Amino acid sequence: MASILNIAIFLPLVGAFIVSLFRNEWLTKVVSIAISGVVFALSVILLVNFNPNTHHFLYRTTVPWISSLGINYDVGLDGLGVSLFTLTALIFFTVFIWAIKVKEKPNLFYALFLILETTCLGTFSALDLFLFYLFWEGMLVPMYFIIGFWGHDRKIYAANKFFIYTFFGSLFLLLGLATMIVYGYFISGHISFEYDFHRHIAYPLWLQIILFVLFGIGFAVKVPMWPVHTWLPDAHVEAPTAGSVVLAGVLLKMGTFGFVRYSLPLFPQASKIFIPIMFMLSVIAIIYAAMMAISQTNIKKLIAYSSISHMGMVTLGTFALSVSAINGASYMMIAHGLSSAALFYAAGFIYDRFHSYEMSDLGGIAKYLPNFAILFMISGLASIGLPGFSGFVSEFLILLGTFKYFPMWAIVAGVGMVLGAAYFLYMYKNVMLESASLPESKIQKLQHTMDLELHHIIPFVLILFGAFIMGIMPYNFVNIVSQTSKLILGRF
Amino acid sequence: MQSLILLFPLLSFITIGLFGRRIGDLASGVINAGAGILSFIVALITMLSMKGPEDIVFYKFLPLSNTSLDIGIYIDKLSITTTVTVTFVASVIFVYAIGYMRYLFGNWTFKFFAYFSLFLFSMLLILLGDSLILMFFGWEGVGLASYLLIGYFHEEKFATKASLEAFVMNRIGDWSFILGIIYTFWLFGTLSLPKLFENANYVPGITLATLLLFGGAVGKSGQIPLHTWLPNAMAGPTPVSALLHAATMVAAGVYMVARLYPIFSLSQTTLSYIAITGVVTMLFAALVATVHDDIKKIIAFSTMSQLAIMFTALGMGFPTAAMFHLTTHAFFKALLFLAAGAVITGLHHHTQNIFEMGGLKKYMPITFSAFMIGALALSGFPPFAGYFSKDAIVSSVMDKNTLVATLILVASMLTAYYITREAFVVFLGQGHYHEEPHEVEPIMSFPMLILSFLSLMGGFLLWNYFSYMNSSIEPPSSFIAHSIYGILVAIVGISLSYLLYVKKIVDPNTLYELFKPIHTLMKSQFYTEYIYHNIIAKGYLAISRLIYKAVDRIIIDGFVNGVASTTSNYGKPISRLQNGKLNYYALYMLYGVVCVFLLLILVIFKGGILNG
Repeated sequence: MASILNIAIFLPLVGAFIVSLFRNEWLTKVVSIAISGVVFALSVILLVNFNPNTHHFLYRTTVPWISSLGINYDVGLDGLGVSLFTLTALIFFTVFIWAIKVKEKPNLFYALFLILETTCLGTFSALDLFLFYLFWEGMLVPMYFIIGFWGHDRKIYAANKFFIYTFFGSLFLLLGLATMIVYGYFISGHISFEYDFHRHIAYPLWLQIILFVLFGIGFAVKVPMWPVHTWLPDAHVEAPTAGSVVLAGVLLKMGTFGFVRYSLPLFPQASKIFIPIMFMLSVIAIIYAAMMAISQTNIKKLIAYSSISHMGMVTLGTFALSVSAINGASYMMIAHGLSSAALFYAAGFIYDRFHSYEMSDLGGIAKYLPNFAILFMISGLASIGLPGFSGFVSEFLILLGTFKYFPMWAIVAGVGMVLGAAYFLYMYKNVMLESASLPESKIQKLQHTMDLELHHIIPFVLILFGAFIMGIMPYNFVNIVSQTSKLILGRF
Repeated sequence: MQSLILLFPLLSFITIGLFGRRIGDLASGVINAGAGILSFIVALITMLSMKGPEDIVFYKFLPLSNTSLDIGIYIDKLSITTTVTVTFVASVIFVYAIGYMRYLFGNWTFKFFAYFSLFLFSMLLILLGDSLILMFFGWEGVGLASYLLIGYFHEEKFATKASLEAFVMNRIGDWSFILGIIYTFWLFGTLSLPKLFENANYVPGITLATLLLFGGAVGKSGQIPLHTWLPNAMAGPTPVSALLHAATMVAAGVYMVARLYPIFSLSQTTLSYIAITGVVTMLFAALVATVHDDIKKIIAFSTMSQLAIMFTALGMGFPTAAMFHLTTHAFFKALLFLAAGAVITGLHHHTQNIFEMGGLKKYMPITFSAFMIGALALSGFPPFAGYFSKDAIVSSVMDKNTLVATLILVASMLTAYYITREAFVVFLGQGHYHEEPHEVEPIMSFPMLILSFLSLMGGFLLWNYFSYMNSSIEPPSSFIAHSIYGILVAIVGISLSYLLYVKKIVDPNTLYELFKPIHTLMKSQFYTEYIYHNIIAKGYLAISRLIYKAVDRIIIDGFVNGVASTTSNYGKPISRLQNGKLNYYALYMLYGVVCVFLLLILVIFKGGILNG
């Protein structure tokens, strides 16, 4: 089984190399879709065979790499890892299908996305700190070019902002990693980048605090947490649809994944000290970003802010330090990955057809594009946490877990579900409904607009079906992540 | 077998949702009504053959701190009787809807029937669900279905506004409800209803938990302060109003409190709070209803008021009386709405203002008698159903708190006044029409006939209902003797509207001029609607936009960009070293990254990991 994991991680990269040699655009597309399909199938095999009763890393591969520095090639998955791994594989699979009609430099486009897929999969499975950082940073580069090449009007500004912002965060992470390695060297006498090695070191409190802050900044920028969130709306607005989907569906999860995988288990005492601050920032993110969302006229920006609001929920659950809350936070990473991907697809479809994200240019679409209207509505309902979709299960678990020790925080955070309904339905109303008040010219245009095509429908259906299954039968999925949560809490 | 009650509407929803376009609007309507009827039959058989409470578990839903949360259905006397009522009334409305919606056939009307099925399915989840979490599924499900149905005419602004308001306001209630559920879990360690009923002992914190749960009921049942969505929900087609106000949705709030009564009754504070909410809303809505002139809105306010009476009964400790009133109310409220819908159909959908109508008795005799029966039942006039159910509440409350009982009687008088005022204005007097009104088809009048019969006779089930629920009530002889006040206020209310609107002893316009400030005050729902829409909703939007411009763009992003531009000014000389062509960068990057990883792969292969 370990070989399946390794193949799944590197197959896209090999694919990137192959397709960059192709001259034929259709060959590139078919090969990319096939590769991502295989990766997705492999990830499902990993998920199905995952033993939910163990907290160990499964499918482990450890090979010495740079022995003199204690760096290994070390990958493996725990419950949270395998869930995010599968999510990533699914999102990329749908992205390749969706982007089949991309016209500009298709080979490069597909190659960049294949590289991006490997780096994302690698980030979630790396168990060596060096390898982790390599993947973590490696993902910035293809994303930078995806925004910079295929973005909209202000793409260069957005790409630079994205790169500098996240790179800035990553430097803190790097500093933190280095400090950790050095301290590990001081107390044990040898350099080790191994995750397990560091997990078993009891860092003194002062160092934990420093490391928590350094790691925390790196992760917070990626999540993004308030107030280091302003890169996200700009990046989303300018990014092409496929880029936005990966950004919201996968990249944001790396920040929260980092908190769960690194900050909590490695610096438990410091995490406890930082609970009030993390709660404050999370709740501000939930409410503040929901308010920002409803004040947007650009639908993509609105969805971007809604992501920040939902990610606030994840960080809240992460630091509530109860099994249910961390389960909920992990679950929400997946749930939000699915629902935000679906929403960005919807926004992308609107842009493809109407060449605008501005509400004032849109309106009354539902009557003329009924299939799209249905799927857009379902995506939104999944996003606002309607029972029956995964978003509800995660919100419920987070609020439940948080309520036990921090009832006031849970009550305030819960307001997000009201505000969420408000901004989504407000957007839907302005974009999709009220066709009676449209001018004649717009109606004529709408009548000649084509509804969803097959390459739109497949991604929607795959993603929404996932959200639905995870919403009505969450038992096994939650069981898988819950070992990770229990293990983390064992350190407190 | 019992699961079939749930399964029929679900299957109907799926079938119509997927194939509605192919099978057509009429077939969809028939499938929807058929599913409702089948569901009713199964519910009836279940009720008749039921031996005791039964918990049927479907599957494990969630692992929760050492226990698992299972979902399934819990059938006991309360849930099955309510299910029978709800499926019955819903089926009748479903049949009627086929006739009512006919004027829209050919415009994707099948989705209307799909929403109906979804609505019934969600409502049944609330009724039968064996855990609070499943109840919440249904709770939000009816919220969604009502959003879709209220906004059914989604091309028009009034409908989209009303549906948005309904959903968001319901969500405020749901927010409270879900927190109540969570708190209940931490207090009792379970969310399963049978286990909760077993362990229902006083624990500290129960007051807050039940108040939070009650918050959900306030939202769903349109009680103060979450009430403005309810009258605006009239934007949907009339069968929606009937379904929303009679059998489903708003009844859910009352039912939830009655269902969880073993828990609610642990906190006297919560019960008092429920009673106060009930009394205030009851008078509020009754007063507002006296001045409105939309044929459906008047009935909507009466729903609000009647639900408030039920909440008052719940708060005073009489859940059985409340639930019986819910049942009879379902009959006559559905009847009133169906009759109002028939009037709108008869008038070719031209107007809903009662003062633009008049003299319809001549054109629509069946509808007239149906509406009159509904109106008299609502007024609490004997021997109509409302008389028995309302006076069961009044006579019970009378022994406990005279003031509350008196206030219920005041509300009842107002009720008798406004509903007969509506009936008299619409059906008596003179009307002038461009297009001659016509009586409705049998498919619409037959459902009214059935409901008329039940509104007429349903009250006599009072003693059967109470003995079935093992609850005590006075015997018929003393009951009738005690209900003299109820009958009296009904007569006063009816006479008042008769004198004012039929005999016209005072010119209504003079009265209007005289009481103009009070009229405006009541018509605007004591300015609550204005405050919610223009101050809270618009204020929230305005503040958000201000913060966006001031904080997000100028302060936070301004800071970030400031840092960036300072850095880049200093970095300019160095940047000349780069040629700035992105595509070159991309190509270098691509090959660079590929090379690094190929090296990595070589290392892996050398280590022979592929064997592992």
